[in-house]
Amino acid sequence: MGMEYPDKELAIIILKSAYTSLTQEEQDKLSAWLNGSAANRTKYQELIDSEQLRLKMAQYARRNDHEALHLQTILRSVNNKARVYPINIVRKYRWAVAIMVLMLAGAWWLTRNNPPANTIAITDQKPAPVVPGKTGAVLMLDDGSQIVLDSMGNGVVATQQGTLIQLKDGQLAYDKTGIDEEMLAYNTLVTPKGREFKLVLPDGTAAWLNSGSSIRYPVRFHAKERLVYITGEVYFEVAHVKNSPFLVKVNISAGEAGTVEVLGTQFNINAYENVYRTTLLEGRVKVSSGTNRELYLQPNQQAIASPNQLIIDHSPNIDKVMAWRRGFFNFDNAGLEEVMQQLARWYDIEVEYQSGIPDITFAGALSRGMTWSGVLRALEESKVHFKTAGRKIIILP
Amino acid sequence: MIETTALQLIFDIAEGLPTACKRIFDMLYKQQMSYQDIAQQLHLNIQTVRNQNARAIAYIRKKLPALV
Repeated sequence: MGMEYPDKELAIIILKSAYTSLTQEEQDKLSAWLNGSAANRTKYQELIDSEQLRLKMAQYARRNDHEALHLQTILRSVNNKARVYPINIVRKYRWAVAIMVLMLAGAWWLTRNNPPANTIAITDQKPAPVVPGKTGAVLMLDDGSQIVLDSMGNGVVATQQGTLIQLKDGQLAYDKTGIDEEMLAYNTLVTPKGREFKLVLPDGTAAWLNSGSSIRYPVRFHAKERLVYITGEVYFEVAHVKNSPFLVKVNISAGEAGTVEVLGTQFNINAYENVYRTTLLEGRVKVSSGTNRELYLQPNQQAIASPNQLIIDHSPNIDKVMAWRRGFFNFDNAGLEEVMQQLARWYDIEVEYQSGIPDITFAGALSRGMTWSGVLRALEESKVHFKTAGRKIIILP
Repeated sequence: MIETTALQLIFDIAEGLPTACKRIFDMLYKQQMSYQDIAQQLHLNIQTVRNQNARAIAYIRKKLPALV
């Protein structure tokens, strides 16, 4: 019940008013809202009428259930596409792992003078509940210091070479008012599992990081070119700057995989696996892979690149690519492994396969706001057999 | 918006109900079943179902102010 809902206080006052007397303060708040509009007064009548409330509860419950059931299975029969990715979890999350290690080391440093009274108390603690991801990231400054952005309020987070780094409404922005210097200071923004984040770069380019991703960028861009490095999945809306191309170097588990040169545009890069997929929505980009090959993308095309291949998909599923930015998972034609990887990143869970990966292909969409119990229900509906243990889900044959 | 919040608050609190009571609450308010149908399905006295409902409502009313 720790979740924050809009107008929570008002909702409680409304519900309370149906069965008990209100304090003067509560009455004033309720009156102010009721006087706000006729629509408010109608809504109030509906909410305090027990029969209407019951009806609404049923509708609401059905809507939520429907969302869970929307994820269905189609037994795998058509999907012959070769699977390209055996993944190496440690390599894939090596940045996140590095940060976790640093944070844990920090936590140990802070707590080592206060050893717990007995160790049993620790093992008795319930694991944190599994909840959907949310806005948040870790910012790593050039000097090695780190700032966890999750719980910070709006305001200046840090300054780097005269550039103000400001956090506002869960977004990070750079204000380049400082003095010019030749040397470029680099910052790295990392989203762990269960976090996503929007960043506005010093040139006005906006970058959205999906969970388990990172972006490394200078606090002020070079005049001749704008270069950033990414891992994971990032969606860009690049600001056009004349004579200053925007370059994205993409790292995948196998190392640096190529560069996307941007010519003013909107596009998504997904580099979770050992290929990276650049999907263009607007404008034009040049994609190159490690083998000196390169190609130009038109809008609604996708380039699939790895150190030794570069191919183009002329009709990618744009809805599927952009689903994460719109608050959804799109599992159309996705295998169980892909589905579990996406869920693991967003709900911050571990996935274990007891004996191999069952051959299940999914269809449908799921809200990224879905509760973990709703997700589990959806998986059950999709004939996935599993058991859970704390933050781990074990897939059974 | 206010409606969604109000409904979600009620369902959130209901998650804390004892199992038997929660089951009847779900049947009454999520599946919109009648007292009669619930009593039949669960092989209970209809008065027991009413009592469980009263219990659920009392519980929600008690917990609601604490959410502020």
